[in-house]
Amino acid sequence: MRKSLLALTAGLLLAGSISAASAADKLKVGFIYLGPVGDLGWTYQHELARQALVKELGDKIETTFLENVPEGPDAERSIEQLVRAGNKLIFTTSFGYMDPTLKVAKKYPNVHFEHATGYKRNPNMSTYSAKWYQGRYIQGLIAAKMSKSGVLGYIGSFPIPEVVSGINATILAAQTINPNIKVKIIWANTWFDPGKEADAAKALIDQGADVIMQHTDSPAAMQIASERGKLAFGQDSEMIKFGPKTQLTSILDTWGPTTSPASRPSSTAPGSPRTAGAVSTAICSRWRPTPTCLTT
Amino acid sequence: MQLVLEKRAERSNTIALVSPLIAIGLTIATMIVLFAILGKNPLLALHAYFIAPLTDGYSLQEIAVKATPLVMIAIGLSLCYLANAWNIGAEGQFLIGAVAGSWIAVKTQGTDAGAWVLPAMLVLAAAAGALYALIPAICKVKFGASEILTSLMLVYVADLFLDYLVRGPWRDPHGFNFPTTAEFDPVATVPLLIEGGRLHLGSIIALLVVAAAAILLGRTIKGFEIRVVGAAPRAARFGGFNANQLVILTFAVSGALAGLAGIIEVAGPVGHLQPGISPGYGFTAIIVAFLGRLNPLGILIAGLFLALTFIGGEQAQIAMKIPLDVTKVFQGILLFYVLACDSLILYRFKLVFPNRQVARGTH
Repeated sequence: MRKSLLALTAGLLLAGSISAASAADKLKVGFIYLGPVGDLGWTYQHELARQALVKELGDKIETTFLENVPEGPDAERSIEQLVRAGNKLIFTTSFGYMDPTLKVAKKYPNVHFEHATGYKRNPNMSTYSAKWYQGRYIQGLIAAKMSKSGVLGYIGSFPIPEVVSGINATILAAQTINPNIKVKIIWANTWFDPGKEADAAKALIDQGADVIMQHTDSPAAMQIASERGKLAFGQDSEMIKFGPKTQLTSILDTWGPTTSPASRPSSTAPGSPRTAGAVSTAICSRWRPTPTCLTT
Repeated sequence: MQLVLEKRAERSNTIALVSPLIAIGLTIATMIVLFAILGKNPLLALHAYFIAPLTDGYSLQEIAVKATPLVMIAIGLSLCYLANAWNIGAEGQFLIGAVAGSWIAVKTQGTDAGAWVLPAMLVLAAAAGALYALIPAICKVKFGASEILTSLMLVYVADLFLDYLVRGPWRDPHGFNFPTTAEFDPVATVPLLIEGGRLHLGSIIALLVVAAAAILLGRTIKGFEIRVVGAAPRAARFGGFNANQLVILTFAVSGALAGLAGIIEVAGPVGHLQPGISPGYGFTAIIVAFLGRLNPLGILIAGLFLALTFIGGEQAQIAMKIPLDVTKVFQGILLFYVLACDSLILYRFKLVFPNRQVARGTH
């Protein structure tokens, strides 16, 4: 279910890096984060991956991140700031950065961009994602088995493909257990807003849901479910400490290296699609580094 | 010995001028301590915040881009505040302006509409912002409703209206459901001033607005009326000035400027309408207006300075790995000192030596 940022970075190092011998040629890697690094969800998992990168590749790379960058008019500037600070590989880690990333990518053909979960691309801008809906399917099965009321509560962020596919997978799976199961959805219209997420969880529970699922980034819903004695799934990150008796399981976005050999630095030739991830469900990046990427 | 605050016989104009400078000085001193506690070199950090962004053309452009909406909105707000009309809802007027202007952009998308599109968008946005601001103004004049509350509440209405449009009728059909309109056509986009840069025509418009406000306040009877109604309402009444009329006028002007700033932001740096087009410009502009002492030139400087802290904060994050929270703390401290120093305009410190203590000193 995951693809390793480490593999991507290592791939880029291999692609052009051989020339990058001296310290001055260190690969600079930048990250644009949507939330604070301490959101304990999506951004936190990316931050763990960045730390893993630093640990694994040591002084071959230098990393920088900008946190709390809204998906609005400031994003383009923040991305460009990273480019101008000399970063050659930049991860823009949320869907809403797609257009600004594309704008900057067109302006700086020698910098490589990895954008999360979008659909617009450029020769130097690719998409990374994971098949989350497979995890959602399993969650749907568990939820339907555990639910007594036959009503599941689902906190959606934005009705984009990544989120809708997760909801569909949940419903399809749950219906195989209980054909009459209902999934109530509340759109929080945000990726990270603990207050709104908590309100959504309360509203769903008030509507009879006894299992809460979410596609937002904070553990707020888990805390509410725990207070009300309901069940819930973690999202992005391990959230069991917010509901020791509440969390059924959690989808972990492990972008960094894992124990699996598949996620170790890939030696696949640059330019060809490759699979990197802990399990066979990982999807491929359309990563196409050009050999010039580090020599300029 | 005791340190007390004593009311001045009259407001000190010297302090009124230097108080922002004292505030900035105190802020910098506090930041030096904070950086030192964080284990960062204070001089390098201050360099990243204040000097580095001023040393290359790219950052200067970004400062201007960031300051443009702040200055434009703050100028309008300053007129309101001078006339004792408390428009807190510039954020909403900004959004409504953006929506109204975008309407033309969305409706002409893909057609061969000519060069009239952008000017029409600007005019419509200003008109819509003005009309939206008139709601709280008229409620105040006719029914005595608190304009602070009504204008603030209308922010949320505008926010949700924009939200509805980009999720529903105006949603980009190729946008995979993400709440945004399609990218505007080139004729509906604010032209850039520098090829490959981000500086746009809006910054020029903001400068013109500053100049117009300076002339209005300094050289015209209307400007005099605004200042008198705010500073001395009784005198204004004796002078035959109509305070209610001025509430309507200043609200309309400030709404128009906020609306104009909104469409310029959307048709400029953003390029499409989406939720979150304003990271709180309408509210930050209130700080800018007061930091600039409700004076057009002061507001221009204050807007640029606040923009500098944003850009510098980002560069400090990149260059020194200083967390974003420090930038927020920094802006908070600045506002705190500005307000604190402002009390010195009407008050002064005085050392008081009570007799009792003097007597004790003779032991």
